[in-house]
Amino acid sequence: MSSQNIEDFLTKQVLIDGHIVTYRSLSRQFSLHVNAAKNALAAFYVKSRSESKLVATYLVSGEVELDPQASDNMDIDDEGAPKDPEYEDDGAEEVQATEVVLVGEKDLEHTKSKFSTVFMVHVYSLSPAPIRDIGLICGPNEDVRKIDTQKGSEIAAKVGKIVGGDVKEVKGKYIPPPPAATTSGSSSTTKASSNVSSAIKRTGSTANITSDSKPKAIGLAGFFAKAGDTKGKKDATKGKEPKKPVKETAAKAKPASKDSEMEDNSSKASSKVKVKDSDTEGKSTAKTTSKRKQQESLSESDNEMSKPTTTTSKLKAKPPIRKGGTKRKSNVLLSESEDEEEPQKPPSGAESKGIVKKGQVVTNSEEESAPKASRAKDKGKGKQVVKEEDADVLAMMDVDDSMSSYERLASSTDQPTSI
Amino acid sequence: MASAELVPISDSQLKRATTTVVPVSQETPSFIIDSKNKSYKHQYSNIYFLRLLALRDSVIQAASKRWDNLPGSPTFVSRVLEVEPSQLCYIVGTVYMDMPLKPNVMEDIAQDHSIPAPPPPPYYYSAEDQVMLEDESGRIELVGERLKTEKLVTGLIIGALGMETTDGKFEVADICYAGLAPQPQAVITQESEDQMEVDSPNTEDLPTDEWIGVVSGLQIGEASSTDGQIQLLVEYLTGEGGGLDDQLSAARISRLIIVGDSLAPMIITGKGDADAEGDIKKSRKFGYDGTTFSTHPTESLSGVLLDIGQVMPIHLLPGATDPSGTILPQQPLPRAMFGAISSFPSFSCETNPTYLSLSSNSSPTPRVFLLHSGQPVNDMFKYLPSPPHTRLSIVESSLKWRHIAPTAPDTLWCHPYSTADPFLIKETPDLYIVGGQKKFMTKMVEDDGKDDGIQKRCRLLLVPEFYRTGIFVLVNIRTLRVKTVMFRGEGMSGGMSDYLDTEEASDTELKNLAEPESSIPHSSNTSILL
Repeated sequence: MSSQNIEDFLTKQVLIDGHIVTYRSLSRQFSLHVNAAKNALAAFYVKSRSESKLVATYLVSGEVELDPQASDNMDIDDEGAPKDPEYEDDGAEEVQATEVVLVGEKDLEHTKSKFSTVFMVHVYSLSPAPIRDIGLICGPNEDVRKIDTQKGSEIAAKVGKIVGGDVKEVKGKYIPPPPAATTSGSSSTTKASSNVSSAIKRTGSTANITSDSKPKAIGLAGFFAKAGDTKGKKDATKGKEPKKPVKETAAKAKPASKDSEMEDNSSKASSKVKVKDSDTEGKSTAKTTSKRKQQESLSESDNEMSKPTTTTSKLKAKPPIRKGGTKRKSNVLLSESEDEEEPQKPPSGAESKGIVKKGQVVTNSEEESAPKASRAKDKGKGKQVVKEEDADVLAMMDVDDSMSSYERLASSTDQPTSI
Repeated sequence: MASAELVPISDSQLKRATTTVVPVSQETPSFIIDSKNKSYKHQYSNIYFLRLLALRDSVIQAASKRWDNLPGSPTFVSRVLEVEPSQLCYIVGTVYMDMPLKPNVMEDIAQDHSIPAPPPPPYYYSAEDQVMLEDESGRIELVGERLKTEKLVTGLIIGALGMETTDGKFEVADICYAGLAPQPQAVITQESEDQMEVDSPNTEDLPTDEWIGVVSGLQIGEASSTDGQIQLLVEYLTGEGGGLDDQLSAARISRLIIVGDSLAPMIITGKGDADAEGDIKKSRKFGYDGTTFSTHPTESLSGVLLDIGQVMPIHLLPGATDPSGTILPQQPLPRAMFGAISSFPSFSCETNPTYLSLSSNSSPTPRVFLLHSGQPVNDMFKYLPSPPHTRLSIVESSLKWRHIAPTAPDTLWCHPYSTADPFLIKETPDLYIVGGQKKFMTKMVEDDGKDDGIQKRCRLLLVPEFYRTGIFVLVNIRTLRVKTVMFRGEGMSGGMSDYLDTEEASDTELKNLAEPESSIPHSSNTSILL
């Protein structure tokens, strides 16, 4: 008879071994419904309390009065509970308050009296001594959890766990879909590229790691570089675009054209930057322009960008389209190609605008990964670093820090900032 | 000799209510910072300009509605510096509070590093505060009696009506904000459902309603363990605790949202070195020795999440004490951190703050929830003297200001956004939940739609810290009514009885602990022993 088993179990656990047995551990042990376990505990308690040292702990649940300050068993020191002025009732509503209290037998009646309505009182656990520390009820949970995970859903139904229909465990590795981060002004294209970018992000992550390590080595140069970078658009990865003209091989272009639309847009935007900068700096960019054109011919080009526009204003009519994914990918490709074309590759990310370093136009739009990627490659090249610094300082002098078009629009007199 | 009554066992298995997550609207900003916008190279001033541009029109509209018909016909002056003396006009700009007690980077640099720095003051307000109004042209100081009663924090976009004084300051007669943002779901509600359902206090909670559970501040890994209290909460949620009534109401809880501070802050006392293995000799099985590193808190939290996650979907937001970075928006905690629960698609980690859109059978129109773990509100509160201002009014005002965190980036660290300020509230949510508070409060904010013909309403919910108060909040998704459940142990130590600033602990000494929100818990020396 299972109740005999239960009694034996309880006797052994509580009276002999001195463990706490909660209704949960009892229900898992015998695959009982929790309510049946509660009843079993109660029955055992009634039976055995006279003969042995056994203490029951109860769970009382019910509604309490809405306004505890009205209750008269408060000691009147400073008007009852300390009133925190921060939390004064400011139109706050009173809500129905339920309480679930774990209480030993000694205080049971006292606790019950504090409730306005008692929903239920049941035995929570049996133990050899009164429970003084509420943390002790967590002891049996180790076993409970183990059995729950082992036996899974079948036992859940039996013991009375109320499982929601939308909760299902996925066996094996579950990777949630990447969250979509929308940025205003580029939402449509972002959506288009989000799928690609998520795939690409993973490939690009390695590039990121190498690039991230570099800034530390750069130190001051990096600091100036960053300052100069604010001029461009926020897209961190835009700077990778300049590398594209360099590695103008069909093979590379193929994967590039896979995401041709996106790349196109981004290349547009970045090439615009490049062009602009180079023009304002007055440095020749014929080489790069041609390369850029070459690339653009591969992907569909937007007429807006096909000609280098000598725009002196740094207004970008089109907000940069964040193609984080695509750029990253090209960066990966670029990094690979960089090894081959090392001498040609200046630390392009450096903020020198339009300075053609080794045949590559650098953009002053702030980009982190691109310059860092190149710097990572050029670790040992002190000479280049020095050059970079000069270029950075130059760039910094030319740059005015604000990069948002709004600030341009607003007359620049004194920019009130309250940082 | 108390005897417990028999607990009835229901014949059929109870079914849990379900709600579904619906994708948020296009307008709703996302707080994820991914590789695309993960750049720290921008100036923070961009955020202010973006804010001004976004809200200026709404403020001008509200201001003109409010003031155009006044005698003296005030005019709108588009640039702050162009006000004429003795001309009644109104200007729109960003508020900047110049407070000597605010942490100032210049002072930090100038200070003598051989002396330890004084602790940051809990409040910034003082008698020497100055209020400025800025826009692209410049700034002007605001003076006037009106300012003393008004709630102002840095970063608000306001319209100020007044006149320039002889010494170049602007004397303010009245102030106006953008007001509640439009609420598209309210329009739908009005058209299809019965709007009265939500607003009327006579709406009854039907047994078919779905409820959402909200809890904040579990603070697992605490020096004084709240594991027991949390255990009671877990059992309540899975439907095991209590009697049949409790289990029936627990079955209506369709989802749990944990709003921040699930892990306690690590207290490094500097005595012991962190043991890399994480193996420490624990004196108490569920205690946490703060001097050495222990994996116990994360494992414990994972266990709790697994227990609850096996029965209902969970959303977990990081908070001030969680290991998710201090700048806002905090990014989601990594799922893999939590072990077994990560193989449940119904468990999701969210950013802080976040928007959540839920719909259910009883409420087919999705309800939009805006949630955050309390850091913006706690920070805003440092600007305002407390007796006239309350937390609830601040939260209400932030809805009217249409901004979750106006003090970012001034005193609240935040990410340097440059294209858009995601903390702007473009559409008023149905429910605005703020975690990490000291006390539970709730209020329904309503706008009768005089201005634009649409009635808007939003329920504000301040969720108290569970480790201190044991309070768990339930929201009815259809009627937006709220209930609380408190879990505690009577006559036992551990858990919230060690935090003696609640009126429920009436049998013990009451200590007046009116300090501002801090993430380091304070435990009293007395504990209840019987």
